[in-house]
Amino acid sequence: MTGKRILVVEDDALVREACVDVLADRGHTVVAVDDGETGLAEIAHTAPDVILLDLLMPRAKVDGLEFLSRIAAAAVVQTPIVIVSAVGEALAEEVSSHVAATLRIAAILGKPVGLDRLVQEIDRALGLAVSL
Amino acid sequence: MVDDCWYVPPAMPDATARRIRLVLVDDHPLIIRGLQALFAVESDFEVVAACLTSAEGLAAIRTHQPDIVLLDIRMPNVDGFGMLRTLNGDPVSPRIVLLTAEIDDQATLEALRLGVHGIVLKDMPSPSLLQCLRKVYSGEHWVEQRSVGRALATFVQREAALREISRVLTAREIEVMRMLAGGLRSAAIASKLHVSEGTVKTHLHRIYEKLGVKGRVQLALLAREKGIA
Repeated sequence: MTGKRILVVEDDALVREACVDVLADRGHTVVAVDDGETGLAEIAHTAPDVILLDLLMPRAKVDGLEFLSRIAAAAVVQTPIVIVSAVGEALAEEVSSHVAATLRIAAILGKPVGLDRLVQEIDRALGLAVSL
Repeated sequence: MVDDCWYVPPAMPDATARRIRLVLVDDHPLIIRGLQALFAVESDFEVVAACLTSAEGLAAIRTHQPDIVLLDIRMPNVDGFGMLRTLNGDPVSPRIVLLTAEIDDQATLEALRLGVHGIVLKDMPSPSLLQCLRKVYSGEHWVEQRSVGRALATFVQREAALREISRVLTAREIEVMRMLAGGLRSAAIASKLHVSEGTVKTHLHRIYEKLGVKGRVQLALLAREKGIA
């Protein structure tokens, strides 16, 4: 599955660049930002098919949690979200599938995440995006 | 001021190894003394300043640019969280490890959102503190994953509940529901919203109808169940 628009919201430059490289290599158009505030603006500009989101971004004006909150409040945004977080595994254990579906969370991944797994979950989320 | 901090000369100079430079900030002198004694016998640590107030701590951090700040959360005037917010505005800030007697899930989450790298309870054995600091220095985090997972999940669940309820209720009705779940009576809600008590009761009856609950007790229970309180 190629040629989709993916928004990466991640404050760690190394992780961000790795995501951009691997997703661009698969033919996707990737917009990467280091702050949720810019990410929210990009949603309007690029209408992404999937959002890759880091939750904890201490220096961002809008961190991943606030980003998620604002997306939830804007019911018009239906973009699937793949969360990547240092505490992703613990979070995934606590969040029910119903809650995840309500917030359009397609996957919750722990850091460090293997790029193969990341691509797999992005593809799955893009599948969701097509079928919804 | 920094001058009020206690500077500790290196206890065990080692010309070959890079030591982890620490600033200690805690308003309890006994804790500070204990930490100084602990680090004095560890060859890979160097305490560059030990401070009893947030103001002293901030000044020492900016002066010494340590690798790690070991910071107490609860302090008079500006607490540890206030210090973290201030440090996040600096161009470069050191890694922070919180040292605390206790911390709940929400405070843990708040600390992580502010960029804390480690959280150590004061009743932990000292080798754990040393291990934490060495891990944090190497770029890792030292937090209790399940606690953070629970706190993040609570946040996510609340957002999901709000999203579901916002499909049914207006923003004002959600506000009234949240206040009621917080224990306020109609008169108090009216006062906070600058409306009459009758208007609040009208809001409440509409909320009961929309959510299919039979009164304020059921509504409060539902709000708490959904994390809207």
